[in-house]
Amino acid sequence: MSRFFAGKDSDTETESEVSDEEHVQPVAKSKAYQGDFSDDDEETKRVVRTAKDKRFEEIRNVIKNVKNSKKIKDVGKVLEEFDQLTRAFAKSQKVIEKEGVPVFYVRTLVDLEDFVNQSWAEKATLSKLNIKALGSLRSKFRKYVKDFEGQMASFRLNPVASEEENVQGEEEEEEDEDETTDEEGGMTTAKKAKGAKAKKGSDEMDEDEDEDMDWDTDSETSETDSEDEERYKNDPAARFLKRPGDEEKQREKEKQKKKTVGNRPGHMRQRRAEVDEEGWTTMTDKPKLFSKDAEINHGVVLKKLGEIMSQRGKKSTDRQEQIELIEELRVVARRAGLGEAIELKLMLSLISSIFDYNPNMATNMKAEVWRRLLETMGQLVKFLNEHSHMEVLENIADDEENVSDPTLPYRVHGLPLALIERMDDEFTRILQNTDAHSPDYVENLKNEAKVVAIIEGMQAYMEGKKANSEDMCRIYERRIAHIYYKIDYKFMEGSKKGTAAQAVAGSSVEVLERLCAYIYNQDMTDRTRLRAILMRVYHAALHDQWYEARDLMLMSKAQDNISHADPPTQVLYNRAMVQLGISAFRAGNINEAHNALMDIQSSGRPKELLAQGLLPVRQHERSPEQEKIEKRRQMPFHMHINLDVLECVYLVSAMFIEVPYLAAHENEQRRRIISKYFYHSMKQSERHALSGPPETLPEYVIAASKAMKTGDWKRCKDLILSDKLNKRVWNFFYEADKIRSMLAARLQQCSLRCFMFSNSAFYDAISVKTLSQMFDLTKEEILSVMGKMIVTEDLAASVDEPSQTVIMHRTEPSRVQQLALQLSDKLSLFVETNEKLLDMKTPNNQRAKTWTDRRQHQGGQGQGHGQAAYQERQHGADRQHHTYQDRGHNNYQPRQHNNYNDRQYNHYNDLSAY
Amino acid sequence: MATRRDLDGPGRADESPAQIVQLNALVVMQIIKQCEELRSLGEHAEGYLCGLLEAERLEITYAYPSLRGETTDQEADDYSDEMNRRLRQQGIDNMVVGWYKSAVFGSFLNREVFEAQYAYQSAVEESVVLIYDPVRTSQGLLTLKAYRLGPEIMNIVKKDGLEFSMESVRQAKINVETLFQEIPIRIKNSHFVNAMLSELEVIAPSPNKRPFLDLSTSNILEKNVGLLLEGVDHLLSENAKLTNHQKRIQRLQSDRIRIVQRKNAQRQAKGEPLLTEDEINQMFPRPFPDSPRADIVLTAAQVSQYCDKIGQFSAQSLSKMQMAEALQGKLKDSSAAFVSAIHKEVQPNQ
Repeated sequence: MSRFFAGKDSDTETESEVSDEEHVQPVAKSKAYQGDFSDDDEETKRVVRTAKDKRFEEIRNVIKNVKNSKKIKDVGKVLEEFDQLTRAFAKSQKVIEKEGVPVFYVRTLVDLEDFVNQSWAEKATLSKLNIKALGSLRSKFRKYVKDFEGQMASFRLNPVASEEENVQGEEEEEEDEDETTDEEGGMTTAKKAKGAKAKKGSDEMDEDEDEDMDWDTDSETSETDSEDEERYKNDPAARFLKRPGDEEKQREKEKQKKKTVGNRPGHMRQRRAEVDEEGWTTMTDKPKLFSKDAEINHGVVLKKLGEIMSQRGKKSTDRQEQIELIEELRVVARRAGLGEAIELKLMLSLISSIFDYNPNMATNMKAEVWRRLLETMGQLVKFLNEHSHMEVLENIADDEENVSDPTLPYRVHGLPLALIERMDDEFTRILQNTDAHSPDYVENLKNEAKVVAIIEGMQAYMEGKKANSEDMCRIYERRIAHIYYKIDYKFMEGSKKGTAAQAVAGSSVEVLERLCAYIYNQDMTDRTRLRAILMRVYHAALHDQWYEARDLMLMSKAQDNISHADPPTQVLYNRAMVQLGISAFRAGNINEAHNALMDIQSSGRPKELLAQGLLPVRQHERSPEQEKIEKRRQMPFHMHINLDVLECVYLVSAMFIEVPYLAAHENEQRRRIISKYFYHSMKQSERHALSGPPETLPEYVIAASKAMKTGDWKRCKDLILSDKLNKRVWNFFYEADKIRSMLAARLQQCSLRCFMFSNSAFYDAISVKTLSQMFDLTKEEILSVMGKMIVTEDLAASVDEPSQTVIMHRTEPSRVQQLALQLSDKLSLFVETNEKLLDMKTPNNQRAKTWTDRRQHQGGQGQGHGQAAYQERQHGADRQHHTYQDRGHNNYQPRQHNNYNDRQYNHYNDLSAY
Repeated sequence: MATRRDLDGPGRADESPAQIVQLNALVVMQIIKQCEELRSLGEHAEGYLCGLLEAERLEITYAYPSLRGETTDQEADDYSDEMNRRLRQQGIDNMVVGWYKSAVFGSFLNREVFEAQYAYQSAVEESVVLIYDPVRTSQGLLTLKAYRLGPEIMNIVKKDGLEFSMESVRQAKINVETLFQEIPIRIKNSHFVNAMLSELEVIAPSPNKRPFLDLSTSNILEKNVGLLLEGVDHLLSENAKLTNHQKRIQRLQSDRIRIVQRKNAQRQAKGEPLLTEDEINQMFPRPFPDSPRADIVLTAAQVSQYCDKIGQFSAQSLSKMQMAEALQGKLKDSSAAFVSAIHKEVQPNQ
């Protein structure tokens, strides 16, 4: 085609080829202005293209490589690239389903087949390595090619006809515009290559392709040559200026284009023509965007934008420069009054460029760039809200855009939501990378208001636009993520004074409720819904709405499948759980608090589980990459949950549960450990011969526990409500005094229980009055605690109403009885193992019968005791099992009835909660 | 001294050489004396019994303590030889017909005693071991019992050594009862001694204040149950061992079956005859020896001994209690008395 005319001696072979092509050529490109820049095909990131183009181009690239390797007969390379090719093809499966297998692909396969066969025939001439590769290539190829047999056969029959609908033309066309005078070199190499090859059949086409390729690379180099110039602002125009000489060529091209247009649907044709026309007129007019008398119109601006954007991602590109250029372009466009769509398009491009400014994922933007980004984002959102009639969608292909025609609705390709998400992530990254204790952090954090405002603006825009629910969920999630961890003090004040409904109105709780409700209903990905639920749980827990939070947690069934979730969601789950536990503690549900916090705290690495810091690396445990990933996952400091609070709340909860239990079962051999972490700390401190005054938080709690165990509630209270704990824990609570008084009351009651457990044996009776003096509780409180202990059979006593005394009934077992109980335990275990042993020895069916018989027999004989004990033991085992399960699921299992069952068993657990 | 078992009880083997053990009062005194001396040191007494055999009766006429502390076998042998020589010189029976040992709560059924008794019995068939319980004796009940290994167990040990296997235990039908045989004891004084005792009675009449109603249940019961617990623990661990053993055997068995089947299939394919039983056995030599049973049997016997003791003791205590109550006449209804007796027994503090 044209380029052959432009610079070539009349090689007959090529001539015929050209003529061939010329009438084969009628296919044109799908895009108007893209062709102008297609010289750098390899820049995959450059312009947003349709999926089809992108995929096909990918395949074509690989095909080129294949051909290159074929030429030099590097079979190993061919094999490698064939793999790549099939992979690329598989990747574009979707497109191919729509479009059918592209002809150029079939052709490549045919060529390859020829190549393989040929090489196989001259195997002897090949090197050892190549032969080996050839073998595997051949077998692979044969296997692969089976699916395409039909197409290949038809291609072989009629290569030209198949070419008719060819896309290759595109390629051709793409190339010819950018040819420079140094084509010659490329040609000669191409010819050399031609000479080297001896092929039949579809060779010609093939050759042609090869040439294309060569030129392609050539123009590539020329392009880079001219890059410098481009940077000096006179690029596209300058380039166009260089070659007005090829008028002929252009005319020819235009002709072709028009031919092409003939094939297109109606309205498309119109627009195309227009753009083309303009494009070409400007070119001939040689406008300079930055010259004073330049005529600025859409095409020019777009082209210019394309130019600039095409530099994206290249190493040599000055990114700062790019931003400035677009900014400049924007100014120019605005001055020329090119309309809103152009403005928007430029804005979107500008934002992308700003994002590009920082290529490193791990580090954050510079403050200056970030400020600029925020500003532009703000503008964008504002703009979008003001011009909500414009269509800004992801799936508008470049050629479907309408930026210039004000009569039709503007359509612009773009994805503002994605940009916003990216900005939000960037914000998080900035905070992550800032030292949390420096003033910088505060400075950065101040920007949150802006970020939130942008997100809110976007949300408003999308709500106005009635965006699809998936996108809505996404923006809502972002919004919620900025709200959920903050306490709305107005709400807290409100709920203290008025009813709940009043408090909710206008508070963040309400906002969250509304957004979450939408997500619950509309979200199709479980992930977003789960995250929304968890954040809501967190928020509710934060606002002392413990029951709501708990119910929501139970309903979400999060604990069942959280182990399958992605790490950030798991972290969120942990956070919600911790907040739930702390909330339960504030609400006075010690037991629940303990269960909720147990998993996190007893693992010994709450810091890691809450993504609030990395543990020091032990050797070989974490690769640098992993560490990087984990670092990226960390929560920004302002969202952290106070670990001291967590630890202290957990320990105090454990103390309330475990210490009375310890006191009650002091001399039992086998006892259940409720909280391992607490128990071990306690044991450890008991092992010390000399314990000094407490220093760390756990030491305080342990010391308090010891005091509580002996019933010394005053000391216990002094320790728990000491200055240190106040400063580090309790003061962080909303209305800390309320919590403190709740704690104090509980400490007294708990100490009373411990006292009764450990000392009741030494009393025949004890007067309520004495107790009330000892523990500074009212008589009613004493009686209520006693009553509960008596009812649950923790204490064998009765209350004598008239004399106001608690009379003990001595029933604690004597030593012999304890031993006897142990013995019965052991014996039943023994019987069990014995039976098992017997089971093994005797074949299956007989023994089951005989043994049940025997046991029944025994029962009948009045050895009921053994049996009863046995059953009792079973029962005990069951019970343990229950609680175990319970704990595993944090007692937040949705199986309510089971929980109730357990409650009966674990009365000591429950009591502490009253 | 009550001997629970009749002379022709089920535990008796007819061919047993001696049906009764006759003790000299002197022997009893010697044993008690040594025990009391050592008890203050917290040690158990042990020593040799000398006597002679007469028809169906084993007469024991003299006892002397063994060496205390760490001794080698050679030293012990030298010592007993020397003793025997001296006794002969004095005209005292010097044939060793057994040994004695003090043990509280009947906790003597252990490996040590078992091995020692086996050694004695294989030297002199009639040898017995006298077990003396100083605690019970101090409470007013002279507890002195003579035991001997049953003939079946002797046969097994002769055949299989001390680590006899389960198989042999089953074949010989040894159970807890037949491991150690108890032999009735009779204490016989010479006329001189009887005369002296009578005279003593006249000179210093014993203050007739036997604390026969003393229950002192808690301590003894406690101790007994504690020992019982130990025994059961031991049995439990043995049980676990056995279970593991069994599992291994099963696994091996299934392996064996699988391999044999495979080989047989191969052979069938080749047309060769199937593996014979001998060939199979040759292929798989017995991999694990049976776990030794001696310890288990001994522990079981010991546990049963404890159970007997507890039963005996409780029965005595209960009857004492009932008697006391009947005497007081407070509770007419005997069943009520029984209930309260039980109640009292478990609450000894009141």
